Amino acid sequence: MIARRVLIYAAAILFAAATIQRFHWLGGPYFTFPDTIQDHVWPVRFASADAIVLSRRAEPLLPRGAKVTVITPSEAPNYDQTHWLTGLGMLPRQHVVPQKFDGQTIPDYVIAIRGPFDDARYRQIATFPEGFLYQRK
Amino acid sequence: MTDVLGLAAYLLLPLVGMIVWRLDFIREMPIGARLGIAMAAGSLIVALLMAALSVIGIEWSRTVIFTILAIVIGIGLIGRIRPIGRPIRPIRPIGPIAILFCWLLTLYGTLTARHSCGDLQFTWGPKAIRWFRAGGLDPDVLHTWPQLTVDYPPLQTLLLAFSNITARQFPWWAAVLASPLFFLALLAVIRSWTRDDLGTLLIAATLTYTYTLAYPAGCAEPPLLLFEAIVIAALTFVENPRAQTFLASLGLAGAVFTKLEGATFAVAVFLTILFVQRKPKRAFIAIAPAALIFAAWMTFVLKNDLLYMYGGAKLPIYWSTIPVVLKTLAKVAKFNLYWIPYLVPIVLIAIGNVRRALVPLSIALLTTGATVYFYVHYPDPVWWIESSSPRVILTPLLALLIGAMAAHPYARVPAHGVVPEGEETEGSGGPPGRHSGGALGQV
Repeated sequence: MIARRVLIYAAAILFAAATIQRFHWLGGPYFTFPDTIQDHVWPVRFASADAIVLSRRAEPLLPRGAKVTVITPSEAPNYDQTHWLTGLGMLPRQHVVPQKFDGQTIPDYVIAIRGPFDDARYRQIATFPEGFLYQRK
Repeated sequence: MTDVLGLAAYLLLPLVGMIVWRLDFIREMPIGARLGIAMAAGSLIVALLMAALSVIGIEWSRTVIFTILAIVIGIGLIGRIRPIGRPIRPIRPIGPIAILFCWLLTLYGTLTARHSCGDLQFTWGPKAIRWFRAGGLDPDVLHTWPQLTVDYPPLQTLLLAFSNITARQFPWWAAVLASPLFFLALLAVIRSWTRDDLGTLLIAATLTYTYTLAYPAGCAEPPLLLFEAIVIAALTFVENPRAQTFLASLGLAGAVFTKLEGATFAVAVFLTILFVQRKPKRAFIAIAPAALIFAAWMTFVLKNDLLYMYGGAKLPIYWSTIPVVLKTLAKVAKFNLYWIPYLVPIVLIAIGNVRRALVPLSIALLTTGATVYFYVHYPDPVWWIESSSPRVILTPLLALLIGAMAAHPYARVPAHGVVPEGEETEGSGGPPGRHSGGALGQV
């Protein structure tokens, strides 16, 4: 009985300490309500957290039903799928589509995370701290 | 305000699920168990209601859904819900305080976005939002965006859509905060049935830590683990045979409607009841509602040409990947802590009464086998294992932890055909026939 008690208390203390250490490793701030649900999932900020913020900022500038996609231009041509899927949730009034620019039905708007999107078919219409918004010419 | 309303939707679930309190064997349970069961039952009722409305062509709206739920809540509240059972009074408050501390760590991690599941943002959330906007569980949404794991069981998405309906906007923070709520319900159920604060503390501390690496908040694991905990713990600790069968049925139905792995969990439980408990009648009754729900969902999937993930069963098995699968799973199961989350319950089972832990042990082994079976269907499964298995392997871990509680010589484990009559108290030091559970709140 004592062995069980000692083992469980030792394990509980270890797990609690490891949890706190993990929280610390993920970085601060520790007592501020974060801006997005992805803010502290890794020590380095994920582009997907920026995708959330950018989608929020771009939404008022996007017409209802417009075809929109979200990309990190530096990843071209193998864009991270999760960014446009983030837009799919964050932009419920728009028609969010995968990051394809070679077909006939290319997006009307492109939200570019962190870097500029150099494509002659698009013009930049807004700049945000986390990226840019482009509209098809 | 959006998130407050979204969270209120989750807090409404136990109220809906209180309808099961009309059953005498539920009313006899301590308040923690009753609330935890109500949370699980409420989740299943709301999800089934929303799915049923879509099937019969009624568009989701606050008026329709809340009117029906008000009737369900009314039936639950009228008459026979007064508790019969007595609350647990711990002799030493350190147990509940330590459990609460672990839960608060989980709450802190969730509130500071340290537990958030990426799939909430990439799959669950977008699917729920698009269903909300379509006014139902709409196959057109799934055809338009086939990337949204279209044939995945819908309970989690439906609960997210329910909180969206309640709040009108999608409440992202409420979606992640549901995770600690389901965790609290799980702990309440386990503690109430076992009256073992120390064992519950082990579960609380282990899951609190493993959650930091599994990122479950907003994904389907929190409700899945609650359903699974109800099944495993009911089959292990609940004495009333009718209660056992009912709770296993409830938990299995919820698990099958929540995740793909819920189906393999149901098979594992079915086999365990059949071969370990040797209760074929109970096995068939327990799995019947889950099988019905599964059949209904697969009918929807096949009728609408949405087969995707379940189609994986037809993929060839890559036997050559077994060493890679086992090696990668072992690496993930390390949880950055030398497998201690697994080793502690294994040691406790080894030094306790293994026979008492046969039911959870069997479920742990079978679900581990099912996990390996899932992953050997891909020629290069490493990325897939590393990204999904920290959550998937929480099921066998939970079963092991419950097994560790059952193996405790003073555990309130009834004889399920596993421990021969008259030997249940063997090792407890107490006389046969006398229930030794009273001592557990004092450890």
